[in-house]
Amino acid sequence: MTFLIECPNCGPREALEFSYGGERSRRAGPDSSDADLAGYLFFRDNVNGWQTEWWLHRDGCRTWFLAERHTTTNEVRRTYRPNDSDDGVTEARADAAEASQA
Amino acid sequence: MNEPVRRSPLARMHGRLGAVLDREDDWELVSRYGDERDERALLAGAVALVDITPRGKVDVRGGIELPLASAGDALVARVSGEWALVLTEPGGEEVLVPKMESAAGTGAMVTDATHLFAGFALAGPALPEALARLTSWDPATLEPGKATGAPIADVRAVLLRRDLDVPVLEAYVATEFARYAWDAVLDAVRRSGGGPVGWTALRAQGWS
Amino acid sequence: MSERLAARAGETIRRDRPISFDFEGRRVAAFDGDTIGSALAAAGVSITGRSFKYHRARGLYCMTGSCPNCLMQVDGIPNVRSCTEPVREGMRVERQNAWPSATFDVHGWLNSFSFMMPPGFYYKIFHRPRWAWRTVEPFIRSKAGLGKVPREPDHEPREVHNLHADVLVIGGGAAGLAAAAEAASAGLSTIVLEERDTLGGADPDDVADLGRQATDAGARILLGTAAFGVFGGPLVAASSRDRLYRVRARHLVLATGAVEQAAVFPNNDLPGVMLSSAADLLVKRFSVLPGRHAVVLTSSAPGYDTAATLRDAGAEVTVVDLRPDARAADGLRVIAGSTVVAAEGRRRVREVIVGSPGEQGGRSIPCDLLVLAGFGAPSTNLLSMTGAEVAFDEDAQAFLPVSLPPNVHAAGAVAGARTLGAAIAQGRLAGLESGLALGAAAADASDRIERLRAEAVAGGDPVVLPPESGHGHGKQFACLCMDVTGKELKTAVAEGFDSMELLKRYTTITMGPCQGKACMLASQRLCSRATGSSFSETPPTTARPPWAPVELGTLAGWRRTPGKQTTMHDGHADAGAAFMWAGDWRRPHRYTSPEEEVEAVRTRVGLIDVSSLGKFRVKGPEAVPLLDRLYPNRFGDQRLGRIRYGLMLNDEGVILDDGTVARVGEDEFFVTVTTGNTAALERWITWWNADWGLDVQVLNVTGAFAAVNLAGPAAREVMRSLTDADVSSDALPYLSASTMDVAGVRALVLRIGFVGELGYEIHFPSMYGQHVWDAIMAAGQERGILPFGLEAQRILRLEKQHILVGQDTDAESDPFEVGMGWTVKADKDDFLGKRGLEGLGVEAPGERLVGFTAGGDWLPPEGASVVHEGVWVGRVTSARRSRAAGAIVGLAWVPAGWASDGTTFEIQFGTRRATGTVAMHPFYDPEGQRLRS
Repeated sequence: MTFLIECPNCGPREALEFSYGGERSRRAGPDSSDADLAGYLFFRDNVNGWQTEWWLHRDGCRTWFLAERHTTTNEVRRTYRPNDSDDGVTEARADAAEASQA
Repeated sequence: MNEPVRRSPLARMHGRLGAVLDREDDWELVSRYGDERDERALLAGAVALVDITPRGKVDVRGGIELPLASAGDALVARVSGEWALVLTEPGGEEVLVPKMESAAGTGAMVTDATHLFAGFALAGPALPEALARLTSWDPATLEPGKATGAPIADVRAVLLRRDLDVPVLEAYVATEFARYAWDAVLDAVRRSGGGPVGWTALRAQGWS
Repeated sequence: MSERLAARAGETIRRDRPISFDFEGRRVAAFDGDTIGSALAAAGVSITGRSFKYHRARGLYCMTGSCPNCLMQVDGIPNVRSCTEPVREGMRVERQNAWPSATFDVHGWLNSFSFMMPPGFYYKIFHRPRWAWRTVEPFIRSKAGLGKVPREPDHEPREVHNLHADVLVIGGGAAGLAAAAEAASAGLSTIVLEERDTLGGADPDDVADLGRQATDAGARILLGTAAFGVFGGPLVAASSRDRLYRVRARHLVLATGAVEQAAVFPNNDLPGVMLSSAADLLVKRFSVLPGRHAVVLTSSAPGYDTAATLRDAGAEVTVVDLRPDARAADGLRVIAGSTVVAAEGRRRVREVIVGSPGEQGGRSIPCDLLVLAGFGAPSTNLLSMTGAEVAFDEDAQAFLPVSLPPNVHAAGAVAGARTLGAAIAQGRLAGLESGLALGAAAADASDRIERLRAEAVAGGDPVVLPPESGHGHGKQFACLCMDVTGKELKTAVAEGFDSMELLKRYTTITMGPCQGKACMLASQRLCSRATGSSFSETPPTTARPPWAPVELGTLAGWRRTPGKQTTMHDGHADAGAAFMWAGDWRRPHRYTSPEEEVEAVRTRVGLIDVSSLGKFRVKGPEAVPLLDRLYPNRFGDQRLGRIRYGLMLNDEGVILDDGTVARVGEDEFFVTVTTGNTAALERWITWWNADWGLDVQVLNVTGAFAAVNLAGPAAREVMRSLTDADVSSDALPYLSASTMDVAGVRALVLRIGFVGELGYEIHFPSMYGQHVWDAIMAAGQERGILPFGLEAQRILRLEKQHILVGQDTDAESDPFEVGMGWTVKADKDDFLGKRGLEGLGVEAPGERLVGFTAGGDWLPPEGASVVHEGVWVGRVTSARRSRAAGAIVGLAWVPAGWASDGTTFEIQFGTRRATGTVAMHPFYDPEGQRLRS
């Protein structure tokens, strides 16, 4: 946990300033099937690679945001607020990360 | 019945340090601990820790631009696009809160945060050394006049840098952590050659 | 034998400042500037300790803190590297792992029984019978090992320093200082970490100018500060005596140099056998002659410098050069094309056998010192931790970096430089390139980089290492730390542990105090020989922290624990409160006795500080939709000034928290939650709010409000003397809220209570805390008010069967199981937990949380089992003695079918047993009349 995360408000900070909120998932709503409910409650994708996940800048601006983090290297290639459209925030970091991935 | 008096959570600790107290509004605040000249010397030559809890503080979140525009010449610590802390003199929040609230409408929440945070001012040339002992956050990333949120002594804080003749960082931590944080910050300040200082010496630096 | 030389130019000891210290009961004279090791060498002490397993005599070997030979107990602290530890007046120094002394260690016999201790011997020998290991282990532990851990707490004040820089240089040799000078000159903030207390090792003059350049340009040089790990980020961790440094830099320059390596031949561990760093430092810095008759084994020019240094200091010197074409130089006697095939001696080297590599026999040269000179290997360990790859370089005959991560540079011997000029050029290049990358380079930087590239080629001869071809008897050690011999490595390979990583785990080579510094190369070479693979196919083991030793106290850092206190804390202390941790709060457990405090609340009036309750301000046009989704309750129809009790559930339907929601405005609510859950619920509520994007703001205002609960039959009378507001049950009925002045302070008063009496929960700006507390206590004095603590509150709430979430519930409890299905408005469109409660069919629970009474003297502890016909069927979650109920009262999880008044069940804990009787209604005031009065 010594890697850095780029908070959309505050810039790069120590991961220790943040709280992890788990991988982004789709909530099973009131009309969902039992299978969807079980999937939402009990199963995670648990990917080995790039994962979109929730982080809270707990000790900073207290903002919840989404991050694309590589689960083995802890590289964070992109962070954005949930109300920003998923493709709306383009940052140099995101481009660079995609380039290095390709 | 006694008149209501507001005291910093650190009141007893100040007493043990030999604090000489002043009354402002209904606040008790520390004028000085010992010789005022020594305190000025600490500010100018090392690093001083001042309990500025009595400051009026207003938390505003949401659509903050309109309420901030109504804050007049109060000091604004803008942490993000949706959150700011507005700082004023002791008791000043009583005027500021209703003014900002009416400017905010339903777009923002304006809260009297005077009691939500204890405030510390760290001031003096040895400020960077003291901060190296207190936080993994890089103080060099904060320009004078700007604010941010970051941990100090392992508790979260709102930080405002406002350099006067010497570098000054104001740190606001949750009231319930005030006593712990004062001890921790004072320890770091002392190891950096500094000590506690009262309002009189700080104000002599042009602080308000 | 060896002793202090006359004063010499360049020595760093201060002869005008004598110091003496205690060494195993005798006074040893030293000078300021000495290390323990140099002072002992000057005093003629040649045995500095006994080895880990075989208790063999060991002496000074590296003088750089890179080997295990001189670890000593200093002022009670174990495993201090005495070769680098400065002497202090009056310090107490003892050798380790030996009794009665390292000179005459009675456990030396272990050396003769080494055949019984092959690698992994304890796995093999003590596998069966199983009791054998238990019997033998304490003996083995007492014989093998290092110093004694002190029993006293650590009194050193420890600190953690966080440093930030544009460029961090690790290593204060020529390359590192050149890099720092360039980077700092370009205006970059630059930090240099140097493990030793001086720059540039044995020859500070070589780097004095560079050091000045770097410092003048503004670089910050931290001496005596060893980088011990590179972590993700990257974060560089370093330690000095009492400090842990966490360093973040935009560019890293690794200039970690080379580490001298052990040569393997029989008795290569005898005192008197040492690396050239030790011989050089002893003579040049400390003016100590390590031996009078020296043999220097080398294969390169630097070895001749060491030989000349010893000769000039007065020793008779023979150089043994591996290179066949070596010639006598500088008046030194040279035996070319030869190597040392064995050393002989008992407590110190007495002679060495010099012969041709790979051949039997040789001639004996009597000596008291054998120096292994110039067998350095690039110190790539920290570099590897950055993510750099290393591979074998045929030309250099060494493992060198072949690829570097972005923003990481390598310079000097670690990057293959073999001359001072190349090292300096590489350092300058690293500094210039950092400047270029960070946009701070001077105009001529590109030109200079071009020119420096030509100077930066390795240069010099590759290091030829002595072959591991020793013969004769006597142990040949690969690893001095863990006492692992070449023969043992061979055995291990034959047993199938045929790679470096496996050998490391099986034989513990490279795992000792030196972490492979002196033994990695020898181990690799022996491994490659035994496995038949080439050296290049036998890379070093994975580099991991700590590369340099670091004290546990340093890693622990500050002794500070963030604890929360209310603004009435001092008042509680004055009133004699005994405090306890409640979550991360310090709260009064009791003031007088819990029984008296309970009595006061039930019959008169009591006051408790509940400031630690989590409090949230929720405000905005969509406050109601937010709360309607967060709670199973309904809030749209809640009237202004009314309070609702609510459970918060997760989407599984499990109870996260319980608390109250007061409507204090059309679109504003004041929400309280359980003390210990506040931080988690702040995350939970703001997370959902971020996901849903509702037009509502949430602020944790816990610290802004102090809160007290004034409870008891006389509470209203006390309130009346504190406020002009109407506090009658008509004006302020149960579950209502109102703003009023209390003791002259604006307060939000909630008619709720956890203890089952008429109660007022008074929330007011926290900095008035002591004022309001004092005013209420004064007002209640004639009514017999007592302050009460958490223990009294726990008894009172149990009498009312009020649950504590987390105490009486767990990660599977849902509202129906705890008898609070009434809070769930299943006809709402949606709320957190709605689908979960439906989908998991919990409306017909298998278990129920019920109240119970029990007779007898025994108070069942929390967690005691509920058993049925000898089978575990449930557990007690809370139990206290209740005077009001005249019995023990508690809460327990039992099978749902038992949830009716009068059912009896068995409680068991260890051999203790009691009978519980289910009570489905509160033991005290079951109709709740007192609460509502």
